[in-house]
Amino acid sequence: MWMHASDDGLMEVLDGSAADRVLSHVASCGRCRARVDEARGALTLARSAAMPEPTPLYWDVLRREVARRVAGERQGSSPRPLWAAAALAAAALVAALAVVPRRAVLPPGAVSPAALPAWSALPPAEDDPGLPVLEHVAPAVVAAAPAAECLDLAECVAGLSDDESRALADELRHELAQGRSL
Amino acid sequence: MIAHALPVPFVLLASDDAARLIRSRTREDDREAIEACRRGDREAFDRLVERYQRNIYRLCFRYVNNHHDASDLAQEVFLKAFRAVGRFRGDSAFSTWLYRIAVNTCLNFRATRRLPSEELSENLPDASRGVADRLEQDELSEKVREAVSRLPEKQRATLILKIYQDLTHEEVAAILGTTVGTVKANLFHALRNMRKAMGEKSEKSEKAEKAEKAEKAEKAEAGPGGAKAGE
Repeated sequence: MWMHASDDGLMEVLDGSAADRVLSHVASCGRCRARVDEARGALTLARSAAMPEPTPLYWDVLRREVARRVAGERQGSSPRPLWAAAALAAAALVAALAVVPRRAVLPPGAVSPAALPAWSALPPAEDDPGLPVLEHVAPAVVAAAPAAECLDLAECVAGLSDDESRALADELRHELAQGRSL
Repeated sequence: MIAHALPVPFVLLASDDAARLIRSRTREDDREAIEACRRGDREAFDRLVERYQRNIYRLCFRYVNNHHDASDLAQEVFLKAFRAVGRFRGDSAFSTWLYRIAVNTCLNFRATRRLPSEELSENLPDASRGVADRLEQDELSEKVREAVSRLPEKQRATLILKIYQDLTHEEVAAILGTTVGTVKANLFHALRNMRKAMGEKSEKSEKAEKAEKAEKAEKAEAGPGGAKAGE
């Protein structure tokens, strides 16, 4: 029975990898030869179809954009390790304990926090005795929590999740209670 | 003289061997970068993006035929790869895995959107070609791209990966999850269908052109008054 070459066989004729029997068939079969010629013309056309290239600068833009989105993914997907939260809590505890004794030695005439009404305006920064203490311990907090990826104490505290904030508050309450009993 | 400038292994190797060596080194580099990614090295993924961004963008462009969507899709492909890199087992080359993500992303995109076909405004003109030549070639390229975009999914994917990404039949088969024989047959069908699509289109435009000419001739015959005398 007379059989024509299969399509993959004809493709092999085009790319030069066809077996001899396929080649000899195509040489003697007008229908298969015509199909190969047609596909060869299409192949030439397809190869000649250029694609508009972006400017060379575009590749940098694309890479940066991918890097930006990947960084966003990293922030969203990698939760802060628990030990970092613990380190933050410990550092904040140090800060809190450092503030507590100062309250006991307030200068004469200064208003004790306990005497403040439920709401009052914050004192000016230069008069706030807690700020120098916090500034002093802030580098220690950052050093203690490198994975927290924050640059200062305020950023670290602001970046805490609800659970971490609650853990920190509990820890502070506990330690302050202990500090008072000492 | 040029041979002296080349590293000794490349001078001694035939081009096929050199290509194989380059592929094997690339695969090794990819493996190292992936390991580094898993260890949290932020720059490792960036190296992979730099290595593959051109191929991925071009693959996406061949699918969607416009720069804006191709750019969005290329970013999407890398983002998906980043999310899944922890699950990459290394059974295939990273490039095969990445191409598979790219093909699937493009297919999903095409399934959900009607595709515009527009030229890239920021493309660079080839100064060595004359304007007329360039226009003619650009027009032909556009026709081919349109014809490719009208091919059935498997044929289009095969043609894009084989002809425009210059992958081997085996690589295309691995990306599309099929056999080498099917890749060859699909490519053959794709080429014939592309030619047919272009033929149909040119036939249609020929008819339209003839109709336009006939209409013009009719108007000219009727004179400046518009309608023919006696009508």
